[in-house]
Amino acid sequence: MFHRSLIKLRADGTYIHSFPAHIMETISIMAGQLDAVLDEDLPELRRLHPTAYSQDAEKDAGYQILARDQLTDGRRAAIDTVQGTADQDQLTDEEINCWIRVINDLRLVLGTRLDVSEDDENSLLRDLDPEATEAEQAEFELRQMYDVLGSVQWEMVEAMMKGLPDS
Amino acid sequence: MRSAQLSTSPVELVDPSLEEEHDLDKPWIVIVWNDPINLMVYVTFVLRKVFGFSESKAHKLMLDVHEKGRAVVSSGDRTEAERDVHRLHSHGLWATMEQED
Repeated sequence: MFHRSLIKLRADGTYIHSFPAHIMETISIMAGQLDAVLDEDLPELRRLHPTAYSQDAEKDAGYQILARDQLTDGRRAAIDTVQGTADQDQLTDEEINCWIRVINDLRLVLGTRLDVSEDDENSLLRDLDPEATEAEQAEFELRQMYDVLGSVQWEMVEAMMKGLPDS
Repeated sequence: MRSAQLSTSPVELVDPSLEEEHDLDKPWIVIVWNDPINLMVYVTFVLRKVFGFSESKAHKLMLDVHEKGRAVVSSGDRTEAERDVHRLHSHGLWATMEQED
């Protein structure tokens, strides 16, 4: 989607980015929408609470009781950071980590709702069928948002990986 | 792990069957599964961040996940495995744990 790197690690360890303001704002708004439903038992949220014990339902139930609140609290903290930094072009290492995590959660929810598969073509590389119904148009727009989130996340992850020590 | 689960008190000591004792000793493995949503670069990033793997090791494990459908990323006692699974879940990876055969 982007032709040049839009985020860079600076010598002082912070990151400077030039992602379009409307994209950062949209992600922040979507993060708020996710925050509002995090406690609900919606089918599209199932990927946020994966099974831990694949072969033992009883042990998994115990894990879910302990893990669910912790995972939700962690998500809320990251969402708070995203909402508080959406209008900044300079972000700390910790803040970028929050953006990457929140974007991933949004992709997990959207991807589940859209039922994406590995063979799906990137929607940013194709046009909407001019004869698409309203429902198809809405799904296409959701799919485009999903792919935009992927592009932003890809850029952020690439920038952060450059800052990781190659142990 | 055994010492954490079994009381040392003679009164409360549970005498496990040989099979159960064997199960307690078996290490747990943590598996990351392929999924169509998480970006490959993101999976590599999380493995490096959570486990401190080198870029080449994390990349190889990510390719195993992508091409073979799953990869074992860590092993240990139940507590350690659960901690690792929880950290992977907090990053949205599809991770499970089971005892080695």
